[in-house]
Order: sequence, then C-alpha cells, then structure tokens
Amino acid sequence: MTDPLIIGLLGFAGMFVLIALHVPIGAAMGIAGFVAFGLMAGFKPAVTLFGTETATALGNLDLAAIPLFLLMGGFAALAGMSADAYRLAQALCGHWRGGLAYSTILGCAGFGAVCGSSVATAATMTSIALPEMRERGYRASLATGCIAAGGTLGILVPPSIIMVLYGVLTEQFVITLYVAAIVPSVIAVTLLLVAAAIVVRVDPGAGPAGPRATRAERVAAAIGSWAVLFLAVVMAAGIYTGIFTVNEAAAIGTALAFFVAAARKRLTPRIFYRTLVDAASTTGMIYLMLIGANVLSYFVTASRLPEVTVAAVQQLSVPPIAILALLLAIYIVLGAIFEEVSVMLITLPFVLPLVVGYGYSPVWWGIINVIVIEIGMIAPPIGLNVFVVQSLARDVPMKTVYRGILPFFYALLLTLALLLAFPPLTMWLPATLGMK
Amino acid sequence: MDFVFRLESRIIRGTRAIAIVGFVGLLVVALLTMLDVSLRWVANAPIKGLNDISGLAIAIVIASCLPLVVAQRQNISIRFLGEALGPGAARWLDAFGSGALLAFVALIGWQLAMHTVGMAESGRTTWHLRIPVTPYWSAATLLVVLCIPAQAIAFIADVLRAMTGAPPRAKEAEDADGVRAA
Repeated sequence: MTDPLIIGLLGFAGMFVLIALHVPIGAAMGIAGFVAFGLMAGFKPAVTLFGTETATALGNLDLAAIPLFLLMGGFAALAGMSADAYRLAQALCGHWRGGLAYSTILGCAGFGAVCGSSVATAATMTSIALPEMRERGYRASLATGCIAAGGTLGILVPPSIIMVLYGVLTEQFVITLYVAAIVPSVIAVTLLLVAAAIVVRVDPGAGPAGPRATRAERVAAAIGSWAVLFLAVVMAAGIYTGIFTVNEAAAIGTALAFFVAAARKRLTPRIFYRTLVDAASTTGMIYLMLIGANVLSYFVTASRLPEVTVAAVQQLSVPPIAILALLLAIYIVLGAIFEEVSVMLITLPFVLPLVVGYGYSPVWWGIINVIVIEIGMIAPPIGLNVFVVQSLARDVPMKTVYRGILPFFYALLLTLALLLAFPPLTMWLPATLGMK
Repeated sequence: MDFVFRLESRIIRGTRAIAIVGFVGLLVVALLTMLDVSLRWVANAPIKGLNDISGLAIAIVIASCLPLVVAQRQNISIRFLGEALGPGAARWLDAFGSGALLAFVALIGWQLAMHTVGMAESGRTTWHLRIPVTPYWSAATLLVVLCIPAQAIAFIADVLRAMTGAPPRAKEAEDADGVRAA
C-alpha cells in the first residue's frame, strides 16, 4: 500500500468516485490529491500544498489574462460587437443559399477574435443570428447547429482563455500557442463553411437564399463594424508584433471594449454590474478548479505515474499515432461526460508527459487539445454549447439541435484528423516566426 | 430553517457586492495598463512599477470572486448519479458534495492564512517599488477565508433541504435577486 504507484492509481480512482458523488470537480481533484500525497509523503507536507498552490494561482500574473479576457468578451458582447461581425458577414454572403449560416460561422470567428470564450460566443450569436435565420425560413436544425458549432471557434481563434490556462500549466508561451492556432483556425472555419454548404446543397430548403445587399449596405455594414475590426486588429497587431504582451492585450481589449460599450450607451448600472458578476463567477469557477488541479498535479508528479505510464505504453511497440488516436477518443468520451476545461485540467498531468515522450511538441498538443475540447462542446450528452443554444431557443427540441450539429461535428473531426496527420499545419507558422 | 435560507440569500448578495468591487478594481488595472502601454509606445515613459501594483491588485481581484462562486454554487459538478437515483438521493449527494467543498475551502483558507503569516514574517516587498506585500495578501487571504462561512451556510442549507425535501437553492436565489447567475 506504500507503493507510490498504487497510491497514485487509487488517488486517481478516488477522484472519480468523489466526482460521481456530486463533489465539485475542483474540490474532488484537490481532496484526492491531498489524501494521496499525504499517504505518500505525510499529511503535514500535503496540507501545505493548499497554501502554496493557492498563493501561486492568485499571484500568477500570466493567469490574469483569464478574467481580463472574460471581461473583454462581456463588454464586447454588450457593445454589440458580435452583432457587428454578423452584420458584416451577412452583407457579404447573406444572399447565397445558406448565406446566413456562413454569416453565423464567420461572425463567430470574428467575434472569437475579440472574445476568448466559446460559451459567450455561442450565447451572443444565438440571440443575434437565430431570429434572423428563423425569419428567413431556415430549418431550426441548421440554424441552431451552425451557431453551436460556430460558437466553439471562440476558444480556437486567438485570443483564447483555454490557451492561457494550457500555456501556464505546461509552461509554454501563450503567444506561441496563439500563433500556432492561426492556421488551424482557418482550417476549422473553412471546413465548417463547407459543412454548411453541403447541408444546403443536399437540402436546399434548409437555408433559402436572401436578397443581395446593395453596395451602400455593404459599406454601411463595414463602417458599422469598425469597433470589432479595430479591437481585433489592435489586439492581433499588438500581440504578434510584440508591442505588448498577451496580458497587456487582454487589459487593452477590456478597456477598449468598455469604452465602446459606454460610448454606445449600453452600460446601465444594472447591466454593468451583471457583466462584472458574470465575469467574476466564471473566473472564480476556473480558479477553484485550477487550485484543485495544481494539488492533484503535484501528487501525480510525485507518484511517478506519468513516467511509469509512458514507459509501459512505449514498450507496447504501438505506433505513436495510434496512441494519440486512442487518447483523443478517450478525450471525446470524457468530454461527453465532463465539462471541457475540467477534462483538460484532470488529464494534462498524465497525458502531456506521454505526448512529449513520443517527441511531439507541447504547443502542437495544446492546439489538438483545444480542437478536442471544441468537439466535446458539441458532443452529446452534455455538449456545453448545445445547452447554451437550446436554453436560448427553448422551442427547438434538443434532438433537433443535435441533428443540426452532426455535419459540423464531422467537420471538426476532419479538422482534428488533418492536424493530427500533418503536425506542420500547426507548427509551420510558429517555426517560421522563430518561435519554438 | 427559513432563517438559514434567508441568510444564504443575504450571503449571495454580499459576495456579489464583493466581486463587483473586485472587478471594478480589475477594470481600473486594465485602464492603467492601457495608459502604461500608450505612454511606453508613444513617449517611451511607462508608469514606473505598474507591474508591482498589478500583481498585488490581481491577487485581491481573484480572491474577491471566490466567495461568490462558493455562495452561488457555481462550481462544476457532475450530477448523473443523482439523476439516476432520484431527487431524494440527489439532495443527499448534493449535501455530501457541499460538505466536501466546505472541507476544501477550509483547507485552502487555513493554509493560505499560514502562508500569509510566513510572508509577513519574511517582510517580503515588491520588486521595483518595494511595497510591503503583507497588507495586500492579508486582504486577499481574508476574502478567501470568507469562503468558509459562505460554504458552511450553504452546507447547512443543503443538509436541511435533504432532510425536508425543499426545492434546490439556485431557483430561489434567482427569484429573490431577480438576476440570473452567469
């Protein structure tokens, strides 16, 4: 019973038992990590982990980008930037068959460039795009499916909150992750657009064509979307040219989005407070999970579980790609049961050493991880984005939303397969720019 | 019993006010950072030691939202077992989860307090401006410690609900406050 490996395995099993017994995931990770580390090294050093890991999390300035990006997303949505991005895309391609679905996906990508959260992207785009699509006679399945799937772009298109978390946990530069995410973002957006095109080709009634926007309307839409374009350009240019850090970009984005919301007179005291409370509660939720995950991670490292697992798996003489495919299948299954950020926090201490042990880049794995999380966000039975969209479109049955998601689910699976088969698609741009 | 539920609602409102103050502070940090970057870029004259101030402020900001999460029960948990076993068992499982969370936040609060005491004894200051960190970390610690009474009340309320079969808290809180949680 004193073998660290056995304690490690029991600790991991204990965590899942606690989670099954309704213990919040952060607390389950923390308690399991504490008890298991206590059995290995004594409870006196184990209990101090709660102090050191909490202080580390609270004092980590890199993580400060998380509340800032959340706040920025809140103000940007309040300022109507999601609607601006959608209107611009609508003016450009709304007249095609399925044009509003394309507009939604492009609008999600555009809003994703100023908001690092998928849930926020899906929620705001539901309130903007869904009424338009329904008025135009779009099938509810296509309308809700493209919003839920497009919303996932919020975490892939930089800046992304989950990449900040991954970068801090794996000690990778967040900016490298952002650069690495550019080509995969383009691929994901393209394939989502292709999926929408296939849907309307197979079933033309799913997304009828609308009137073509006049030149004046297009110009008006472009002018009307100055705020979202300005914010996206300032942030991207600032981060990628090195004028400011990711944290500073998050702070500047927050300040600019706040000014735009105030200038557009959208900030009543009540709405302002609510935006702050929403950002605060999501931040607190992430941090409590992070503290638990840090305690768990400490015990996992001490138990030598990752090294033993890596050695055992490498002895199997199975091709690395097969191991990765198995891991991703496990991720998708876990993603269907757990909330997505917690899946990453729970598995990272075990999985990253395995992936790095096979010689893969942690940056590449970070992007793969985000894509898998995206897939989990629309996979049954608890695809988070599906619930967000359905909660705002209560008359659409859940079954219809899932049916509508299917083509986009395959598109994201194809994105994943491409990035998995061709790692240079992800790593080429960071390598070209001299990033590791 | 009603007293516990009323107290619970008051705690939610109180923790919400704390989080709002904390996040107004975050907005101020964001505005100062924008000013700093602008001054650095335009006039090569950044605000001296802003990083020190931001580092101290961020710890307090983050600590300010933890009691809110605890009080509003915004922690992510998986509830399949409760759904499978029925509402009565689900309430008891909720109470168990609530008790475990109480133990977790108690350990965090206690050990962070010890950590802060150690910080005070070492007389730590910030890097550039040499600001003593103890008062700021004490404030952050106090906010984290507030999670303990907030969760203790939530735990008592959950046990009472399990015993009496009262409806879940989230709906009550929503109705009472008129503001939907995030």
